[in-house]
Amino acid sequence: MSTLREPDSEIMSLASNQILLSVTGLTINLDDQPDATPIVNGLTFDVREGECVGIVGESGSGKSLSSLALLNLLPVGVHIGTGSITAMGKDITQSDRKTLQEIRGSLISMIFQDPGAALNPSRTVGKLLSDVIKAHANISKSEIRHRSLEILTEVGFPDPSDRLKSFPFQLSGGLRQRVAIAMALANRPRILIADEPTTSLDVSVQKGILQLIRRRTLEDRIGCIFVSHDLGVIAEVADRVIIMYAGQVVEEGLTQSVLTKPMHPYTRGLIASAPNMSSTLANPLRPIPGTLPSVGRAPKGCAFQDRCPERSNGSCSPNQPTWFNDPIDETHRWLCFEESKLISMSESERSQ
Amino acid sequence: MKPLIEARGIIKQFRGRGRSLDVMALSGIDFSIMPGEVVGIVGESGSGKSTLSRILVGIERASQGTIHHDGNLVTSVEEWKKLRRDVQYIFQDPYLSLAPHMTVGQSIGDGLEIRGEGSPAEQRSKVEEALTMVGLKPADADSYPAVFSGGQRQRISLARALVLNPKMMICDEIVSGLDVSVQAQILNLLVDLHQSHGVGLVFVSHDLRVIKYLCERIIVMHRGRIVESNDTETLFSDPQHEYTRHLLECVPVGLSAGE
Repeated sequence: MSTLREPDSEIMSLASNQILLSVTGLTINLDDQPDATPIVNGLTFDVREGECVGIVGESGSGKSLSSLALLNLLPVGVHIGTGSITAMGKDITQSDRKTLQEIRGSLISMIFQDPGAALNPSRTVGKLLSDVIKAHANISKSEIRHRSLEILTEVGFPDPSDRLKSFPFQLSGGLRQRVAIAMALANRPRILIADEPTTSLDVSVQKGILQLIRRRTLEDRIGCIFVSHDLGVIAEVADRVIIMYAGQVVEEGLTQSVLTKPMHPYTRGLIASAPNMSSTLANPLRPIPGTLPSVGRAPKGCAFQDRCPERSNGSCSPNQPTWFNDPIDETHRWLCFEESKLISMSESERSQ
Repeated sequence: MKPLIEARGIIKQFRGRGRSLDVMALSGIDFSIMPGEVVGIVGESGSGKSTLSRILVGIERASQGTIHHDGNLVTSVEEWKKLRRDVQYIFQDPYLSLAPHMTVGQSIGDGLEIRGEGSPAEQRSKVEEALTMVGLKPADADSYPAVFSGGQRQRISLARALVLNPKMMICDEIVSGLDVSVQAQILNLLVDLHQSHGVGLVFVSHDLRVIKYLCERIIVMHRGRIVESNDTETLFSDPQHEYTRHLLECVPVGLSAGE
């Protein structure tokens, strides 16, 4: 069994590719608690063409809100505080309604977790696709039909011409998600945001959807942002990964590097607590003690300090943690207090 | 030793809006569980794994087939009551399975009260004992479910099952809705309950990684049939059925490949 990703040498060469999306110092605040810890705090990352960036986190980490903010789709009650989101030269945070409507679905598209809820139940597959296409292009009916069939074929939808008249309820979960992906890709966007797109799907269907997202990212030179809580899924699709905890980025880098040499105590805890195919009772899961802080209640400084098994009492709690870089892979960095302790621990763990 | 539960020739048909729309959820299941065993039932949505687990405790009635408890055929209400004393069922969604208007202690003690087991004081001490077993505080008995997180609620559901001192717990996707770091706490708690109290487990899940970690024996279901049943090691190292092999290939390999 191999992952869907390319060898790392090829990903490194992506560094010269064009940056499609650039997020800088993004902060999301609660409307009614301006003084509380921001629920997303200083998120910064770039997405280049042809690469998939994974965002990993548990509930309350801010991963879904961050992905919604990229389209300026934040729900009522929260707002973007500071920071900028630049997509192909346009600042999303400063755009007016009309510009945003032009951007959504044509420059940046999104796929959601539950395809059943994302598709209008009263529209057929053909209608759903023509709605999206018509919103951004003034083309004839036959051209729309041609484009619909073309995109359905691209997303691996079987017998598309027979199924244009099907309603979402007549399709399985996997096929519905393929329709949602077809709608997202219909206008050839440059950026695709996928928020837990396979969480509600069966494992064998999941594999097909992951392969599809991976293939479209590479062939269409899309920049993909893939949000998930499942490290196994992220390992299969993402070239780079960002680990979030309680609104903070705690670690980021090449997927291979982060998942095989995790440096932040939270990332290590996440890996040690997730069962994989080699977990056995002889080598038990090591859960992270405690529970996730509720939204807006993350402690100041290091958000993970209350649950951290590697915490040192003297230096941690009141201070602001700093970024450390991996000397070998400089894109791999993590937010902590003591560099040396972590590196020596990871070496002793690796030698076991 | 007699099996704790034995299902013979279970068929379950759900009525559709016409004869042709009837759904055959289970088509001929033979299945038995020994006391203290940890068995996993794995399958995709629609495979019949939840329906089977519900039929085992009588939440759902089979269209055809029989359930035996300790070797005796279960038919009367009294016999079902006895079975449910020994076999407790835990539901997937911890937000739906606890009554919001009852304190945690009332919910946990309800099973004792209904059966009239012990004085109120004895019931209370059993409730507190059960809360301690699942890693909560005795004082939590006086709180309402609303103040607890998903993981804590799932612990409360386990305490509600454990207070009756069951021989077996049937867990239907009980960690699926939990965060990874909390999921591991619950899984390790189940392992501990099995090892230190000898409680048997039927663990229903779609996640092969979780099943592999926890179970001694695995049953693979597909379209209402058991396609393969074997001990965990053999099933993973030498899967016999084509569907099992397909399922194994689809599991995200993730970290094990990188290490």
